[in-house]
Amino acid sequence: MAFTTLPFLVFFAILFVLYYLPTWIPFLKGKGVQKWLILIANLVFYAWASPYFLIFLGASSLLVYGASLLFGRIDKKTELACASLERAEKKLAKEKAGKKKKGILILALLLVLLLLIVPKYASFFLENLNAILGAFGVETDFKVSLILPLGLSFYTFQNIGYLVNVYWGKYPPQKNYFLYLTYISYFPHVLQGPLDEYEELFPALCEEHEFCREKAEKGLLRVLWGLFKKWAVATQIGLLISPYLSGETEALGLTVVLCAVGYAVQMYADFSGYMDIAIGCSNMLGIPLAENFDAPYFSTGVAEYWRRWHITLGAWFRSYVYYPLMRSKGLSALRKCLKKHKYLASVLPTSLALALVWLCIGFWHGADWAYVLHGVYHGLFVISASVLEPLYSAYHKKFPKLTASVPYRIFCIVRTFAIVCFGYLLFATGDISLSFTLIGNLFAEGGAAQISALFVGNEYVFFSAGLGIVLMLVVDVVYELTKKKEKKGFKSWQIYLLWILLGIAILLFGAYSEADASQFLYFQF
Amino acid sequence: MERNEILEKLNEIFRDVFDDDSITVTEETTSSDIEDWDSLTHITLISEVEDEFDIKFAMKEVVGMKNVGEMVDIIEREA
Repeated sequence: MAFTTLPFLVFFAILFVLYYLPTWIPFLKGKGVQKWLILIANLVFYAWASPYFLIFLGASSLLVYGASLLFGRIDKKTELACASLERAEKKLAKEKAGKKKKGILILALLLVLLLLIVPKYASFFLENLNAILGAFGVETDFKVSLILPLGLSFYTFQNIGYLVNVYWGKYPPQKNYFLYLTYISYFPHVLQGPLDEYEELFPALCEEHEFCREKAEKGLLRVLWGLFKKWAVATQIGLLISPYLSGETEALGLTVVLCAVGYAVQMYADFSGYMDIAIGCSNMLGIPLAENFDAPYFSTGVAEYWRRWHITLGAWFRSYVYYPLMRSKGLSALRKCLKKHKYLASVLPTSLALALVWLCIGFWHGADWAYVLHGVYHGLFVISASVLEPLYSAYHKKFPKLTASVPYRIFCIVRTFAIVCFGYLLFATGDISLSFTLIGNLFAEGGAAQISALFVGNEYVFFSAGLGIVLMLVVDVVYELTKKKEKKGFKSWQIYLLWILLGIAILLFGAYSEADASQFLYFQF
Repeated sequence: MERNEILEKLNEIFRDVFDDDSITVTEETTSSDIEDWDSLTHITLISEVEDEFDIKFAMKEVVGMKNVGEMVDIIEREA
């Protein structure tokens, strides 16, 4: 059930009314009915596309739930046993329990990852296997066609995050499976994130929430803002550039630039618009969700960009891949070996861990070399920034006035945006050969004529997308300039103006747009 | 070891890791107060603190430390 469709509107309206009813009925008040309503809503929402998807959600969450309970049992048993043991025996008992827990963790992670890898990557691996065998003269045609359950990549990561935290002893395991399922399948985040931490979201899910007009209004405004980004900007730009990105029409010169910049804006409007709807809906129910965007296109470097774009994915990789890698025996030993060379001791292990992290981020986005290359591309910028850090630092110290000036900051923002846009040429097609064709055509002639021809008949699309981009830019500039100040954001009259503008725009785009707005770009990942 | 003593030693480590002699950490200092304190420098910082105080932070502490005060708590307990 996509957020931009009528069934979702009806679904959410019914849920919204039912959700607050128990707080007004004396014998239901304080009985914790809301969280069970959310669970039912989650299952209806998720099964809407296909009940078959529930098998994956159920299997993955049950596996993690079972493993986490085992961790809890082992910890409790060890604690009881240690109470009557001497210090040396205590250490031995803890080591034995630690090994047992590690074994369970590895097995559970392998199984959960297998549930992700088989439907998402089986076809990709077989295609590559056919190609490799073909290179040795063995003609094969291994094929498999599996439907990728919606949101699988996202809830697999949330499951892993929860499991690892229980393993680390950060919090005890949840004993009620259905409560755990309520968290993992929470409808605003199950399909595209944000990747909410269990310890942040779960208490809010279990709490009883009374209707709050201010929260409901703010939430609704956020939903409208998300719908506006999706309808007025993302789908309109999609109409213009999708024929070039799918290879239906060959893009030349300036058109390739238009595709790259257009896709960057489309992706931001689409993905952050989805987040606005998800966070807005959740806020209307009184439940806060993690923020996933922080005006990323105002970043002054690639590493900063990734701290501001898809924030929860970056945080997930940092906590569950990068930190464990850096703390692993191998990289710790390497750091200690290089202790005398301070620079190398810091840079070498970091670069190795980052290389692996970015390879994983590339693969996570999809089963094509285009996504892997996109991950490697961004990884190279992040690693170079870390390697060249002493140079940057010296440069900033030597030219403090220049590097603190507004024109220099704008130059850094534009440079980062250009790097991101070029990276999208690798990513947007989802097909490596098509991406290389696009990049190869970057300096081809005929682009200006192609754009002029594209304009004819598409005036309305250009106009609406342009208007939407201007409004988005104004909102993001105000946010960027005021986010560190005490009085943040817009004044109340500006908010009312935004309400009116959004209402009119959504009615217009919803009624007259020819584009299909029911699909979001990140569904495919 | 006294908390003040720990904080003093931590201050030296912070200045060294972030290459900034103007840093003065307090128990309330968080990663948002120091410009270069990101995920990359966090691990270097953790390793330097471990070496200095001869302790080993648990992973839940590495990912969950909210401010320098929490770091001092752990060092006080473990060292």
